[in-house]
Amino acid sequence: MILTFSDNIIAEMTPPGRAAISALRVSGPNAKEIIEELFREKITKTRFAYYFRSELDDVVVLYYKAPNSYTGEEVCEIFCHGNPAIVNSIIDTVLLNKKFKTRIATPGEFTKRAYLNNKMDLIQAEAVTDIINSSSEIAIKYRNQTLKGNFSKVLNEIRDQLLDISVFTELEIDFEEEAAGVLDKKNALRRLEEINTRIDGIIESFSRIETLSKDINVLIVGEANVGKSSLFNKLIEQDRSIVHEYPGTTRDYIEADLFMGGLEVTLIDTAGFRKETNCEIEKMGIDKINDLIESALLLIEVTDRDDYEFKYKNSLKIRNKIDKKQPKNQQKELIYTSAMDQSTIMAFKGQIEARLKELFCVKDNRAECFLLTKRQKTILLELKTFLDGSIDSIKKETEIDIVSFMIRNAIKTINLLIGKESQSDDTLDELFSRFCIGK
Amino acid sequence: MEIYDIIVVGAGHAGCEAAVAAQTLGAKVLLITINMDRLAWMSCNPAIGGLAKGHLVKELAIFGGLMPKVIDSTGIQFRKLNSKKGRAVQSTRVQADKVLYSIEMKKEMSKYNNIHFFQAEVSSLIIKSNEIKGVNTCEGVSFFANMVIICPGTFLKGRLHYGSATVAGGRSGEKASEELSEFLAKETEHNIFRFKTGTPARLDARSIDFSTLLKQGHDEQVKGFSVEHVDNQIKKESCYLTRTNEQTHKVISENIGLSPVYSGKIESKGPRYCPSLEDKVVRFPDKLSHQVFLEPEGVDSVEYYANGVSTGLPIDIQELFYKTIKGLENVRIIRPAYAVEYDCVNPQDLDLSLESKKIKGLFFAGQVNGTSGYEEAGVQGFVAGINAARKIAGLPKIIFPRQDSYIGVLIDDIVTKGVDEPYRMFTSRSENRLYLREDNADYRLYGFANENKLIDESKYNKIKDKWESIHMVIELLAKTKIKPSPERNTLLRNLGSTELSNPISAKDLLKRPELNFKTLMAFISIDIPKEYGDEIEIEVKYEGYIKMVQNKERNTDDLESIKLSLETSYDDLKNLSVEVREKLNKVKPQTLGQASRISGVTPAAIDTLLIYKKRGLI
Repeated sequence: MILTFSDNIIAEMTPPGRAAISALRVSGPNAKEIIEELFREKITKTRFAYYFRSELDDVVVLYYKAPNSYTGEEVCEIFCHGNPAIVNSIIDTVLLNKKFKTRIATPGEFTKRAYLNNKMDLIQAEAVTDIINSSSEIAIKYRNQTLKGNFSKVLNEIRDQLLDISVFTELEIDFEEEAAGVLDKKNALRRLEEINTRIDGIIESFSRIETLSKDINVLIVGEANVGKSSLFNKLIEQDRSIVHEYPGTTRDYIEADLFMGGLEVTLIDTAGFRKETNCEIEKMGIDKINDLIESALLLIEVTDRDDYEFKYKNSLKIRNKIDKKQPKNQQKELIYTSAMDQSTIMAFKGQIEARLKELFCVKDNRAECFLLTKRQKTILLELKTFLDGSIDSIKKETEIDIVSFMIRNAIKTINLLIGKESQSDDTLDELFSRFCIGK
Repeated sequence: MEIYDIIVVGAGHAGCEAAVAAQTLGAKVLLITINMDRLAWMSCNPAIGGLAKGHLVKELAIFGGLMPKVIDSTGIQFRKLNSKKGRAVQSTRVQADKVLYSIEMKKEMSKYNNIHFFQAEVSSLIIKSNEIKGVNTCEGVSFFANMVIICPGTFLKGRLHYGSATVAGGRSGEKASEELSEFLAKETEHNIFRFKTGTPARLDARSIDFSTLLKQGHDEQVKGFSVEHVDNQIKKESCYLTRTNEQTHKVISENIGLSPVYSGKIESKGPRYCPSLEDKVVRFPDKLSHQVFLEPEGVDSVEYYANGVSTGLPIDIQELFYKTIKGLENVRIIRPAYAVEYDCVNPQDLDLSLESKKIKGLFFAGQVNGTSGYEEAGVQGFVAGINAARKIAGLPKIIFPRQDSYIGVLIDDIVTKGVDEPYRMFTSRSENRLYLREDNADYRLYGFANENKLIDESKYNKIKDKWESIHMVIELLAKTKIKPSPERNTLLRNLGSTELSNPISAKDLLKRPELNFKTLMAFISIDIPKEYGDEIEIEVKYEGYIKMVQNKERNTDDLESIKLSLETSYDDLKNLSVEVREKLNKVKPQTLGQASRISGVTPAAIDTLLIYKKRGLI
């Protein structure tokens, strides 16, 4: 931890490299003065787009007055032309300023400051940090969902529900003689089980979506010479695989990155299975492919015969070369393709995308798909132990102090996740407002 | 004029404990009270203990407080509340003969030669360069001391309201303390505010028809609070249960404008958990009936305390509505109900030893700190008493950790968060409720008491021996394997428990909710000491739950161990929001853990404080 907040920090907000526009951010007590000196201009208005001309570049500058900025500090954002030379010279000039010390921000430091200045809760902060590493559309979409507080919203909802149950357990414990009400066990059990299912869903969606941070491999497999490489080339719309009529032309594997259904996918064309091979290189290739099959998210299994027995249960099953070898009858679970017929390729592509979306639970547009960090997942699992505990204790008719213990700890665990302070007063406030207490 | 170590102002439940605790640590104490005949008087309900409050009294017993001892000897009905709701939340409550209680307290206090008494009303404090030097009285005499503990209860500018009629008084029949709070407000930096509470009427037993009411009797099985045996031969009495009805509520509704609260005469805040009957009727119109407990005020008294129906309405309206209640059709009021308003000091002006942060050597304890209840007052008196005495001896202050006691929870809560209504203890105020039980109060605190020399040796040894033998038996149970057999499985089935397929330790078997120490004995062939069966059973059953969170609590424990100085100024910590800085400056937390409990101090702010602390900036 190297946070001395007296210093100013600067960093590029946009990815490095050439682009139309690059953006830079300066945050710290002197952000305004630094930029004023840099461009020899005066800044008076906050959240106003200034257009400054200088020898460095013609730029647009936005000034955010503390605490109403991303970090909660004084912030200036500079939009310049997307040329690394320009960006570097701006940064260098700022760093050379002796009057106002500025240093390059460490990764995520803007966010850290924002968090420490109470600009966002822990969940939002963690999502921002993660966003840097995610590349695909879906990943960003889900991270954005977390960021905008959807995840916090769901957790707050669950917390309120638990609080509502705990009002009754506390009522029963601390206000026995008032007889204002007791825990309706049946009702509590039903609600706890609902919450538990909801948490299960979130954890499960995480396990599925976790893959987004890794590579998504889509593997084309099948016997030799069934047209895998032709399909591969069609999908990536390039001629990458050498296509030849001899079986076993593709001996190792070839991969290409492409976007499918909003996901960044690595499509891999593999050597075909052949009963025997004497070629050592090809044998090694086949070993490698077996490893790939293990790690692949989706297998596309291709054949050109009607009597082929598909090997992989969850693969997309392709009957290829329908132009040359007409299939005898249409089967529902098969996809019929021909590299020569673009409409079958489009349909095939659609099938792959549909399957990928299904794997990421996008199919039913469930709101509760969240990308979680490891920490969030661990805490959710902890939450589950207390939820399970509360359900178990009600079912077994354990005393109310134990039931309450489980529910209160579940609330505490959620508070940890939302970054909220735990207050026993929350329950008491609720209780006093709803029930007539007091002798 | 003699110079004392400590002057205690007020001889209620806080003042008496403060005086006794201080003299036990060797201090010479002067106890000043407005009325020597009202020592430890019960201004409101005639009972000690109850939910969470019983826990406080049990804790006080370990340190030799007088409240547990005196109530054990003068109690007229012993009960265990929440007896079916789990051991952690069971509490002892004892109805008192309030006159005997006061007499007995005076008798006990008089045994200590180092406690002197003086009847007078303290009007102002003698302060030199922010240090306390003594007190002045209305009667014109001054006393000097190194420390002063202020325990005036509801007496500071006390006003009793009977409808539109207002009488100055600390409680019914006694004069208020008019000058002291004026002095505190004008001459010190203490924040003074007003609270409101109320008390119901005392009714004439001879005019009550008990025959139609539900009786709640004494429970022979229930022991009192003390560690030692206390003799009690007093005749036992019953309480009676009745209810308000729609007719009662109609009287209230029709006359609501006469209530000082609803007419706007009283603006101060009263407790939500102890509402007047008019509050109940207005706020919960759907509830057509409320419980009323009729509690005897003593064995030789004809007065019954009407618990549940306190009111600020005029006396003629009181009579009207009391008479609508079953059993009270012909009732005669002896002492009418009233609402009382009084001055408090903001407990956030105090540190965790209850010493003022504004004036050195000045302590506050009891209801003046915005709490309610005899038990809450008593433990504060005790904490202030020992800390004042230790300060004189040059010893460091004792802070009660909230993880180990309700005393700690109480002090930490009021000092850290302040109070916005009279503060009453609830078990839900503790994060550690399964551990903070009545049954293990001695176990939780005897080590702490011993370290701080707050327990005598024989008591310490008695508790130590008890718990050593309890843990020895638990270990023995852990080592005793119970093998499955047809007889045992039949027995288990009959007890509603799952049959055994593998050997299991006797300890694990005892963890099953449907088994207890007694039924467990049928499965064990070796001889097990049975003396502490109850304690053993509770320990074993709760152990697993407590361990479930113990590792996670460590994080909190760490925060508790990081000390912050009372001298720290938070003004320059620019990374904290202005709001957080203001709150920290106000409370001046003594640990990072305490800081984390200040409302509005976010986890982010705690992280930041941690960074400052690690960098040596605070």
